[in-house]
Amino acid sequence: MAPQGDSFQRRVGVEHLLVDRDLRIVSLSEGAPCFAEDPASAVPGEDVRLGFPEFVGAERDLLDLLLGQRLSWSLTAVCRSRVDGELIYLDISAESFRKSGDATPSLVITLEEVTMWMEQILARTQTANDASLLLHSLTASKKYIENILDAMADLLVVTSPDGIITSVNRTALRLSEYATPELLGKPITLLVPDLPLEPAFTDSSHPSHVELHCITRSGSAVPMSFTGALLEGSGENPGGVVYVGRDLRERHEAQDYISKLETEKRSLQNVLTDQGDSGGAVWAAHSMEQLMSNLLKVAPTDTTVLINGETGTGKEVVARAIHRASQRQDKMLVTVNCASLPEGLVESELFGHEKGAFTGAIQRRIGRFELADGGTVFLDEVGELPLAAQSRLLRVLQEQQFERVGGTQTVKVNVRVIAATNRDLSEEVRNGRFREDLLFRLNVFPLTVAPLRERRADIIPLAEHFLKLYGRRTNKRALSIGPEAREKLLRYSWPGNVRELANAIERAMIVCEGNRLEESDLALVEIAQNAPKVASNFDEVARTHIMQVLEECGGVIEGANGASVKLGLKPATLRSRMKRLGIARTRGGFEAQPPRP
Amino acid sequence: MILAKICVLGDISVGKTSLIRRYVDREFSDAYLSTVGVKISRKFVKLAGVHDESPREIQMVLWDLEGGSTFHDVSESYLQGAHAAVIVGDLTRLDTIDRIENHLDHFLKVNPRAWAVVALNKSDALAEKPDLSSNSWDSRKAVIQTMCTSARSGGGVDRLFEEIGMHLISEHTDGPAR
Repeated sequence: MAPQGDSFQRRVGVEHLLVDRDLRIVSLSEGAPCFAEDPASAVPGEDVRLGFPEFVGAERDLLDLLLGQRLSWSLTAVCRSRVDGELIYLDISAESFRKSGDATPSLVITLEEVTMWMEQILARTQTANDASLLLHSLTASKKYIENILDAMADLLVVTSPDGIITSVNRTALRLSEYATPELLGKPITLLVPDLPLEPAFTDSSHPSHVELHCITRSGSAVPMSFTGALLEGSGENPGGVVYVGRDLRERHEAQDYISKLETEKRSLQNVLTDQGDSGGAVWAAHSMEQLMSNLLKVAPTDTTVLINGETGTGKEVVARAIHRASQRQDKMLVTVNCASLPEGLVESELFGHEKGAFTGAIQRRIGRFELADGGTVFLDEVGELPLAAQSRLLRVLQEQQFERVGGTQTVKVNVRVIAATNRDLSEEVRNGRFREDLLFRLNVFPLTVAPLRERRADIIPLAEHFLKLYGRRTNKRALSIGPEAREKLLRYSWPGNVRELANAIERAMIVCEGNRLEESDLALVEIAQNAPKVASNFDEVARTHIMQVLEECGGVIEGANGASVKLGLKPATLRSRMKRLGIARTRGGFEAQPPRP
Repeated sequence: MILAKICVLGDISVGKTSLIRRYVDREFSDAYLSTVGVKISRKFVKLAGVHDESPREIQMVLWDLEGGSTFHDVSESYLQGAHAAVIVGDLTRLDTIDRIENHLDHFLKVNPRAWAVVALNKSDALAEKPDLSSNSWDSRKAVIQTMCTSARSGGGVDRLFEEIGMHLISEHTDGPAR
């Protein structure tokens, strides 16, 4: 902190010298020779020690200052004769200063005459000992306050009531790139051209922050937040204004970064939403209507949902529909495919890790559960989770908390879990591959997505949906499905479910030459022949057979052309069997209904 | 030219300022004005070293420190970088002589490679020459000489500073003596 006025009138005169590393004077202020013991020696090019004997013996300290090994050097109340024989008291300080473009720094030496201040001390004390006590007490207090102000991360500038800089702290020098003598005595507007000088800004009862630019010595504009406060004068002290400025560059950078991340997040959410729409829930089948009805009931709650279904039936679409219909829709839906995670990294991926938790953990990383805090985690293929991760997942489900791998701090989250599997988890429990207690926790609200062969009414609506979707991508918007192609789609067993249907439509659109998909565009027979579906039990065989016969008979049960005749059953028996097997009539035909939860 | 910072230390009113005034300005005054802070004086001398025929120019910057300061942090900033010290005691006040070693310790703590000369001042006030054969600081390597001085009469004052000058020349010729 450069010297400033206090209750004693100290600022009689301040002069400056610029000195090079050989202690030769580079330049000096006009009045500086008056403070020299020999003014003839106080000229540029001369050794500063000739005119100013106080620098004899200080060579090492000044060199350390130039080398940056010390921050400041100062002497207080040094008494010496002037050339006219008069005694003067000086406060002397030095600081390192590098002009832009200079290869080596110079020393800026500030000489402040404090003779009047010393005279006032002597006048206010009875003995030299008291004077000494007062001098050193004041000096120690001043140094103490200066050290505190210099340690501030904020810029601090004190001005006279008319806006002339009387004091600056070290941060002000660092930020502005000026040396003390370049600022003292100059108007504050040199640093902050737009600073409001009206009294309202410095009204300490209503402190206000103003964002302005501080102009550095090299002309850069540093965004800063300024406050001002009046320093009341008393007696010989005229008072002034203290301005405190906070560098906003880091805050602005952080705000820009956050804004960029928010934009990215919105963009990613849009991508996810688009994907959701493109693979969105399209159905006509009664079984799906029931599923969607249950979905809408469970979605607004925080209940854990377990989605069962064969591969490709659209379990993720259902999970996304639950998230979008929930109160968490504005937060993240984080999808984790448990089967795709390397076994050694499953826990780290789900729960994160601390720096150094294992080889390669070079920095702390948050896991999927932490990422989804406030939102939803969709654990696809949950049956593939290793047992160790299963126990940690159980704790998250029970307590909503966990520790990062290698960490001891408990992380609390608010996450809804939706899990999906194509495995029979009860069977997995029996085989010791899945924790029974975890199954109970996951299976709070099971939803089953029926395979496509059991909801044939969905085949054509889905095919038309994919036709539209891929039409936008391939620029073939006017395509339709010919009657024979429709027949073929309905006859096929779809072992790969909706995913296979989507792929079949995409392929057909590529090979299609007209405006209508024809039977020949659909390469389904070979696939069906190559991959016959084997039913898992007798009921399924019966269900599939009855449904095929019903469709062949156009849904007619009784009469000569009815399904009961073809099946060799009485109509009442057929109806009873259909009910038992969950076969229901829909607008497009028949389908199997999943068991109710 | 040899530039040297010499600090003059000692209890209050032992005659530090008077010794410097006698040496630099060739003056003495009975009017006692206690020093507040530090006062700097400069003396140019030409001296020939013991082994050197041609005289050397020496610029001694003498730092007259206030006596008996309890503000060691402040006085340390005054002591820093000194080449040598004159530790002054008052022969008429034995307690000031007892504290010479304290001043010496304080000085050497700040400047461990420096050296000192002890000046036992106000010798004119004694009827008999004091016995200087057994002083506690004699065993200290940093003390190169103990001398009786009188700022009032000028006795021993020039010799005291000449001794310092000779030592500075030998240091510059041979490197630091210690």
